[in-house]
Amino acid sequence: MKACKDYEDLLPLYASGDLSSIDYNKVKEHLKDCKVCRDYQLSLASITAVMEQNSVEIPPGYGADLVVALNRRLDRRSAWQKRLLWTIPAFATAMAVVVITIISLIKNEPANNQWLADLNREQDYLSFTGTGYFGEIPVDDNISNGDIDLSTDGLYRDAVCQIVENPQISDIDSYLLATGNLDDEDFKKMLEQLKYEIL
Amino acid sequence: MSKGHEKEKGNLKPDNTGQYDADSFNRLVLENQEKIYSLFRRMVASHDEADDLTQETFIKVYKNLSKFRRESTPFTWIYRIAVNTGINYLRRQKARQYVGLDYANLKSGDNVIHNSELSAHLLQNAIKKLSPKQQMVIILRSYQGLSFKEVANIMESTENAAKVNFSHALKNLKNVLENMGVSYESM
Repeated sequence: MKACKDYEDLLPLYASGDLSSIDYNKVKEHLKDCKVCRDYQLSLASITAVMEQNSVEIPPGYGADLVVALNRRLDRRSAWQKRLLWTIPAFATAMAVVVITIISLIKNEPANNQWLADLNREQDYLSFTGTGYFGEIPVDDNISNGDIDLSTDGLYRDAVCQIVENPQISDIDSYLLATGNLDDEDFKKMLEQLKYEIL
Repeated sequence: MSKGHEKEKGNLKPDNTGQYDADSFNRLVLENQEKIYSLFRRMVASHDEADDLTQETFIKVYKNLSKFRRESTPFTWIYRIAVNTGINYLRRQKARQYVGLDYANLKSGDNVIHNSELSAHLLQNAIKKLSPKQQMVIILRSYQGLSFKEVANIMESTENAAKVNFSHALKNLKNVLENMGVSYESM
């Protein structure tokens, strides 16, 4: 069932009582003569009547329950925000302490090894890379781990065994001086021995 | 300012620091909860869903209290938040291609309406087939009994646009009911 085109949009508003008096009278007159629009209008009126009569049942005490539920949620939210408010600065402070400690350790490294710097000043054969010391040993010396005979002292033997070839850096004449098993004093002795033996 | 106008504006007033205290918010909830709950109750199938949406609306109201500029009444402002919350919810539901069990059953045969309670139930299912905006305009105008001026303010449109939207919504609703095999005489 389809209403007349000129009245199709007016009939829903006629059914809901929302037309101006001019449009209302115009539709009213048309309905007297048009059965199709009259049936259409009756259908719409049935729908609006059901909607207007139907009411929602609010559960008893809903308003008070809602206020309690909302305040509980807002309290939880507020507590969470407060925790977050403290957590962020605390985390930032902890991170700052860690960063400052790392920077200070890195900065102090040369100072702790001042003797090494002094040694290196004379013979520019060591350089600090941040992870270890690289010894640039002239290829003319034609050495390998086995060429250095430090067997007279078991301590030095251990040290020499840790002079490992590092193929990623350069040719055979580049060696990494690993210091893992030696304290500063022993490492200093080892370097002096190397200086004596090699250079 | 007249007493009536004061009432229309509501009791929502900030303190000296521009903040709203808990009492103002609680009062706002109590004054508007029935309208907001019934709006959602017409839109969804269960009390729990309507309650969730009502709470979501008032949480948004609380979060945005400082942004309320009094360009509209608190009533219109809260309704607008509720309508947007409802439209977003309906869009999410539509995206899930949800087909209600009632509607699925109704499609299987003719529907003879025996009483007004069933008619209302049937009508609610039919309304769910409309677009979210059309559902809202039908609920606000026909169920909630708001004027087109109020509907226009809430939906941020003109009064004429609200009327046109309502007219189309009612025609579509009639078509949906016909497709469901509903006879109007029995409604």
